[in-house]
Amino acid sequence: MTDHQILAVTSVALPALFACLLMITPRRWMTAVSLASGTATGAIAAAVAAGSIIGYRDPEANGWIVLDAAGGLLVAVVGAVGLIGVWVSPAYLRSVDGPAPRSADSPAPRHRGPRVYYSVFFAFWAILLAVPLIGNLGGAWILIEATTAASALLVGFTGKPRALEAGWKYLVLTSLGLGVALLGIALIAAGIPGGGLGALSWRALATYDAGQQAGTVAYLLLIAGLAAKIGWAPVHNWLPDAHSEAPAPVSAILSAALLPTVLLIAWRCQQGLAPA
Amino acid sequence: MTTTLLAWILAGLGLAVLAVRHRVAAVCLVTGQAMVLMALAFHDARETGDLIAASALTARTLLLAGLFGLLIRNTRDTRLVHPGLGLVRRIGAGIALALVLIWLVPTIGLGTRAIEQAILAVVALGLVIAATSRATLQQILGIVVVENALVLAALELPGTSWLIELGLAFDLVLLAAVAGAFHRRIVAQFGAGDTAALRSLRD
Repeated sequence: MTDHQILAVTSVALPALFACLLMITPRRWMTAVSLASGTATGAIAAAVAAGSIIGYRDPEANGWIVLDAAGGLLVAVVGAVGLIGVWVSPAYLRSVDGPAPRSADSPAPRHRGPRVYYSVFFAFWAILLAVPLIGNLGGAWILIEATTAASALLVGFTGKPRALEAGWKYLVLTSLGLGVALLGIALIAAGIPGGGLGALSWRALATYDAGQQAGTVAYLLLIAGLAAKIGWAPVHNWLPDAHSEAPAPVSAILSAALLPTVLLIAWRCQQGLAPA
Repeated sequence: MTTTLLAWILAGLGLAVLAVRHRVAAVCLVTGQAMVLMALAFHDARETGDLIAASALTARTLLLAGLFGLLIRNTRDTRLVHPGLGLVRRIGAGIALALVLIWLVPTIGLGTRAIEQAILAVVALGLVIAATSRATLQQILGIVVVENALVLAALELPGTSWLIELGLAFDLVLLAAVAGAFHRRIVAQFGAGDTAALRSLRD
């Protein structure tokens, strides 16, 4: 692996590690640890993005990772929005929990809200950083499905009835949509010689040879499925509710980072299948 | 021949999930589908990678069965959740959507045409289960039925990587766990896993 690829892997592994760390961090240190973790993640994401954008003439790609200008741009966006989200999260959590007790005699309330929030936020951020970097359509689908699980938990974080409704609707509609997308991916994979994981790399999509009709149906199924995740009409019902009921930092990352990232995957598919 | 038979058994189980109202029966039927997939994976395993993929499916089956068992045990509905549509309409919708998908999707090279039709039928049934059920648990099962169809498609693809199978299995278990957490909170909030109660955001 090249240095740039190692840095890209680090940009995903680091927030995942911080997600685990924040599950065991004592409450009194949680804000400081999350801010430090977020800053480190943002810095590394910026470095990966800069390397990809500056080196746009020499994109790198192996079976697992792709480092190109488009991916670099999305990594920059995800990194920046995630960092801002981490920095404003303490203020949001204070508004939900109320001010911390000032008296040394009265202990801080014991609840898992901030711990769960930060852990799931960083896990979501890690998965989101991986999506523009993944070099494989199958891997991209798995990551997007994982973002659904993580972000649904964040949408329903407050536990209020409206948040539960929004989170449930989001979870079911996008999961079904991604199921349809997976059917499209299976049809694409069936038309690529060789099979195996390599058959779904972005470059290998150009070798699709099952005919234009089958290819069109496969791509339409994929786009229809991803449309549910992106929030395109007529499968957009979940979007206004999820974005309004989610915590503000989460709503920002859903709008500014998740949706464009999924759109990037649709674009990569179109670019990959176009020669075929 | 064995694969074709098992594929249509999968479709039959999906139709049964659409028909039943009792959640224990529905979970048993979906678990039955997962076991059919497991049997198929082991039957067709030739290399180490195939065995790893089959083991991933086994783990997936056991985890999902355990998860749904826990959910049923820990979330008792305090009132009956009526289905969104009557039995005849549900089954009619499932069969109609299956026929539409079979008509729309051309031959794609997933084993035989009969197997492809079975896969599309199971996808259609899963979508209809999720769309016509008011019970949150049934909606989760609809998603699992769709994923079961796609696992069958992945098994029929030549040279499918065991990593993809492992990733799919992990994703579904994760999704089912999150959906299960939501189901528990909804039952705790509203007394039943009834999506008809989730209407405060409707216009």
